[in-house]
Amino acid sequence: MDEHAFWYMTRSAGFVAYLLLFASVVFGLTMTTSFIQRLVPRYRVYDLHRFLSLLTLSVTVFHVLIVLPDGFFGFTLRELLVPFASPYEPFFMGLGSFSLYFMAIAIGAFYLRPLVSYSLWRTLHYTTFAVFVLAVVHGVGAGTDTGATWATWLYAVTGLVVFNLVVWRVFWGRSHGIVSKPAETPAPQRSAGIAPSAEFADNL
Amino acid sequence: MKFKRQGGLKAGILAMTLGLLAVFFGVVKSEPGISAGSEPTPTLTATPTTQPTTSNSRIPQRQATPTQGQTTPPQATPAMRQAHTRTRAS
Repeated sequence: MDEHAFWYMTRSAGFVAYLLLFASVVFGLTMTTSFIQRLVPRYRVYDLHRFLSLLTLSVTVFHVLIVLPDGFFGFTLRELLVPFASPYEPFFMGLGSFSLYFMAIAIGAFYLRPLVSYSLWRTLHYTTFAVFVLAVVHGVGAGTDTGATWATWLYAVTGLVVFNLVVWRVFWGRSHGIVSKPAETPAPQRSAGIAPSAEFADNL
Repeated sequence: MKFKRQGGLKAGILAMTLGLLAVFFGVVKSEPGISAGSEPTPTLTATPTTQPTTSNSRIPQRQATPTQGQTTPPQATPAMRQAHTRTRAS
């Protein structure tokens, strides 16, 4: 096994987690559009959105923990989990920690939906945007591949896509009464288990 | 049934994720300047994990002052000695 295998693994997992996060955010932003609905039924998009989010969290946790056996830094679990406790780039690593925690909150909100009010759920779900911004800044600031051309393009293209989608979604949402008009709280669908109600999905 | 059909798609996403991990593993491994020297860059930029601290850096360090009874007179300079001689002579 390569001497630096763990180091390569944490770096590659960081990029994959970032791309999965990007895909999940894009899914979330576009799932209510007619374009996506024509391709895939909404309940499937919602299910995939949640699946992608869980996969993102899993790969992110892998990205964090796989660096522990790496011998170069000798990171401790505390240094990785406590924000700004890292000896390497403490500020940017701290942002990465916050990104992980906010991601856990946003994903937890999927399951809290039947228990909390719609506005609280929505607020919790909006932490996803903070997660994405924090992940970008963490990747650019703490990533050792940031200087590589492909990494620069990757951050630039994904960042621009999400930024444009957010701007578009805000205007689109306003024109469809989503931003200004909070939705009614849907009844939890115990029988379906996974699929949200139609009106709930409408207002995601 | 509807959701079971998604199983294949999810398995595909999972397989794609593993494939991406492998691809990025190869990419970062071949990144020039990082793997070439067999030492990853962070070792160059990382700050030491633990600094040996023998004193609390938040407390300003005072110059050592002699305690009472241990005072030693300042070393006389040649100018002082000359002035002293002149005083005695007058």
